[in-house]
Amino acid sequence: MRIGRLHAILLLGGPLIFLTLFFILPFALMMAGSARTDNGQWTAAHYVKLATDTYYWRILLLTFEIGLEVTLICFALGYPLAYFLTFRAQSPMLRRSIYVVLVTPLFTNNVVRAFGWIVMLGRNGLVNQSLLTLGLVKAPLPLAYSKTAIVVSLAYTLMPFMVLTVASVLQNLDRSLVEAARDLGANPWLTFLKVTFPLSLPGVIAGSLIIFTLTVSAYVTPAS
Amino acid sequence: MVGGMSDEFISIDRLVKRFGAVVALAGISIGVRRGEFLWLLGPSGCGKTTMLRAIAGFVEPTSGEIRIAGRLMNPVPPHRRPVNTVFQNYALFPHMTVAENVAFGPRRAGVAKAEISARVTEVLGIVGMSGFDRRYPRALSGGQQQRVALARAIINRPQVLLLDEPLGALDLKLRKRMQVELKRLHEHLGLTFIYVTHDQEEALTMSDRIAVMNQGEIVQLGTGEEIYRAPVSRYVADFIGEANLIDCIADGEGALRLGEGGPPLPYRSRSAGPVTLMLRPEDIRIGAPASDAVALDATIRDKIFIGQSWRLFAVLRSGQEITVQPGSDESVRRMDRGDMVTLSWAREHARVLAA
Repeated sequence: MRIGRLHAILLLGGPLIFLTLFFILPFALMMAGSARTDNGQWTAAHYVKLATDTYYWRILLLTFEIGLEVTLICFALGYPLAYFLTFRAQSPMLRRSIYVVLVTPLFTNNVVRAFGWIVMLGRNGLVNQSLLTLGLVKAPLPLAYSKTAIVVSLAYTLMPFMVLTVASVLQNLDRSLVEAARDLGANPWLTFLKVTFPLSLPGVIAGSLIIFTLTVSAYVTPAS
Repeated sequence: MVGGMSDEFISIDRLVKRFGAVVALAGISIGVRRGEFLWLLGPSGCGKTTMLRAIAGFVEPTSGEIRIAGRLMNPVPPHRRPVNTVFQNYALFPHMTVAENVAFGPRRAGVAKAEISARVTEVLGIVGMSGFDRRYPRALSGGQQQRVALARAIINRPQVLLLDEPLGALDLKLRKRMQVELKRLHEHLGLTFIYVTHDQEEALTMSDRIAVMNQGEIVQLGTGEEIYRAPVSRYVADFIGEANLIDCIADGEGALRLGEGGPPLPYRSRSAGPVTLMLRPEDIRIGAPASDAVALDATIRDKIFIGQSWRLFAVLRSGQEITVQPGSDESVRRMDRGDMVTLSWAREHARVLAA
């Protein structure tokens, strides 16, 4: 469909003005400010500090590490679930319940959710109390405030983004392609490896991007 | 049952498939000879595709047996069956090139790399797609995709090639050409073909065996000519080619009349009551009847030109409409709406069928 020049300007104009005012302009001001001292003189001192102080690098590295781990966990657990939902779950009732369970965490506020995890994982939390009662540990484990706790709670929250994007791609997959692969001598596993999985990659990539960006920008959860 | 008849390469025995309350296959038994070209013909929903999918292994029969070369196929999964399918929508892998698509089967079978590429080149040559090996399916036309799908199936040298309306998505001209090519390919490869279609014209053009299906059953099995000339039922007569199905009444002795109190017809029915007289449009002559012919008076209602000849629509005195396709001659050309004519046909050309 071709659209007229005026129409295009109108369509693009709104978002463009919005982005300029509230994103590009503030960003430019920040960039300018970052290269000045308090009394307004140009300086590269902030950048030198950023590049030489290992603290920032450690934080950045940790952030990316957590981002990667959360994304991998979401993929490892979310993909099979999406596959199950699309190809195996026969009853619509079962499918619906899984979707509800999956999406529920997203309805909760981040702070409340973080608090919930503290209750679960704290020294006197559900997990530690259970382990102590069962006699599996002698003293409470330092579960909360650990990197593992951050990764687990983020993966739990962000899982639906992987499941939903992958499931939507799998649902649109032409089933006759799977049959064609079987027909041509590929067993179920090879069919998945050679046909189903490669064709679902766009969903995996989209889901991973969402999860990775949300993880590296997550603020409240790591703070808990 | 060991082996069955020796010339039965595929034998299907009382095959039943139910989907819940729906009966897709109602106990089908048929034998297919090695190297035969068998057509499964019927309207949508008649069970022909279910039958093909059962042979391929995608549909698990409710009961009954499928044997290929004497071996029971029921417990064999699709990827281990000696069959390959050409799917209706081609089902080419969109993320693979033409060469990769075609090489998919031999690769799974563990054929050596050098041999695979030689065979890919060979089959792409057979289907007339040489030089397209690096293209992706989306860059091909429907007809080209169809050829690639065919190449992808025959490269495996299957014992049986299953074709599920493979030409359905092509335009008429291309379909006609591909039909001839498929036929040639069948002769060239010597494989057993089972070809599903709802297009009776497509099936009739080939002088092979046709299984006409209806409601999960094979209602008639024979060559196109046999079925066209001697349909066993009103359904088959109506489905295959064009037919005038004239409602008649048989009296207690089985003598036929054209309707209650209508003129007698020189045919006999085994049962009394309403019966159908089947008559092909091209078997009817117009004008003075030959001495041993059956004749009826009619009025011309319409006349259309269909290229090589004319088609006339006539109405009998009983109100029954009859389609007539006489040869193209001057008298037919001059005929006009409202003309009174005598229709006649050689006695053996009409057939008495159950109503």
